[in-house]
Amino acid sequence: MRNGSLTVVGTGHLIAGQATPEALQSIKTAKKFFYLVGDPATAYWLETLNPTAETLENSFRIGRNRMDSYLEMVERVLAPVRKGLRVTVAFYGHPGVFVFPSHEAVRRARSEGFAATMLPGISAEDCLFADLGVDPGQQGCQSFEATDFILRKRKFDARSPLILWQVGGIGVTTFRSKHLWSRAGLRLLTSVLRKTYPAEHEVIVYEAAQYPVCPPIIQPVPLSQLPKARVSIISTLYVPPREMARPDRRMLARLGLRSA
Amino acid sequence: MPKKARAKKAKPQDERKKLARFFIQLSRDPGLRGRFGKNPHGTMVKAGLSKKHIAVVRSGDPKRIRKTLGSAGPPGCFILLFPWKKR
Repeated sequence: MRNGSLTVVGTGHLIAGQATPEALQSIKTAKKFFYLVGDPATAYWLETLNPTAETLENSFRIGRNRMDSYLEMVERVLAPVRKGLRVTVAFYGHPGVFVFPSHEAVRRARSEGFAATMLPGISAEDCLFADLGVDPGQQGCQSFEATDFILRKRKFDARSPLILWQVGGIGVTTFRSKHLWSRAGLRLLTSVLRKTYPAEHEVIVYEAAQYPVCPPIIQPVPLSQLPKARVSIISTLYVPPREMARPDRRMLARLGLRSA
Repeated sequence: MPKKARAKKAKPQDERKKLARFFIQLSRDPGLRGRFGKNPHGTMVKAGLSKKHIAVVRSGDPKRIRKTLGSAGPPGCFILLFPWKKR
């Protein structure tokens, strides 16, 4: 194993309140520390934890293709690793959930013979389970990125909860500074969902709490009204099941079970 | 730039840091959170927040808070997974 290592961690969503002890330890002891977070207070907090802290945010530019920005971030993170330093990079939320540069940096570091680790964090979905009282063990749970859901015509079970990520940025490939990136994408998503769910089916536009003085945003709307809802790029859409799934009698019998 | 003018210009930044520190402490200190729950205004005054920032906190509006802290854009809008390209 070569000298130099990479650890990728998450800061969760709530400012300074959802980073795990192992993530904090990694941030504090890193010889070089990078971060990419969505809030100035979190950035300020991280900078107090490690004097080498450097934001990756400036790899973004309005109108630039996001993939180009991500690849630049990967190279920025790996440069000190190649010099033999112990590097930590923190992303908001869970570092492995909807974060291309974290996975790519770990992949490349390992392929070059460096130790690379990703530590789990608290994702928007984790917050959603807690705030909406949804237990994926009860009726299952399906989770898709919204553009991917539309473009690949993902098959899903309407008897199980459906979670769609990034509903405010459907079809947008560049970085934008607005809160909602595409109202047209939202209309398209609604028309796709309407093939399976009735117009009055209540869906929830959700945003995890970011500040300790603000509750999470939980906005129930009939599906038909989704295009008019207050949606931002960080909104996640929760679509409750249309109906309960009944157990298969033959399978019950084969397992020696009966309905409770 | 004269010293006085420089000091005046740096003030909003310091105020923002004070607000950021308050949120950080509120997230990490259950005791402070408890005191804030019972007496929000008094806790914020004790933390040295300005009248303007106290009003922003009391609004409970995340967009307003984010703007006050110094961010123009939406939160977390830059780590989205997206393998597609425009034609």
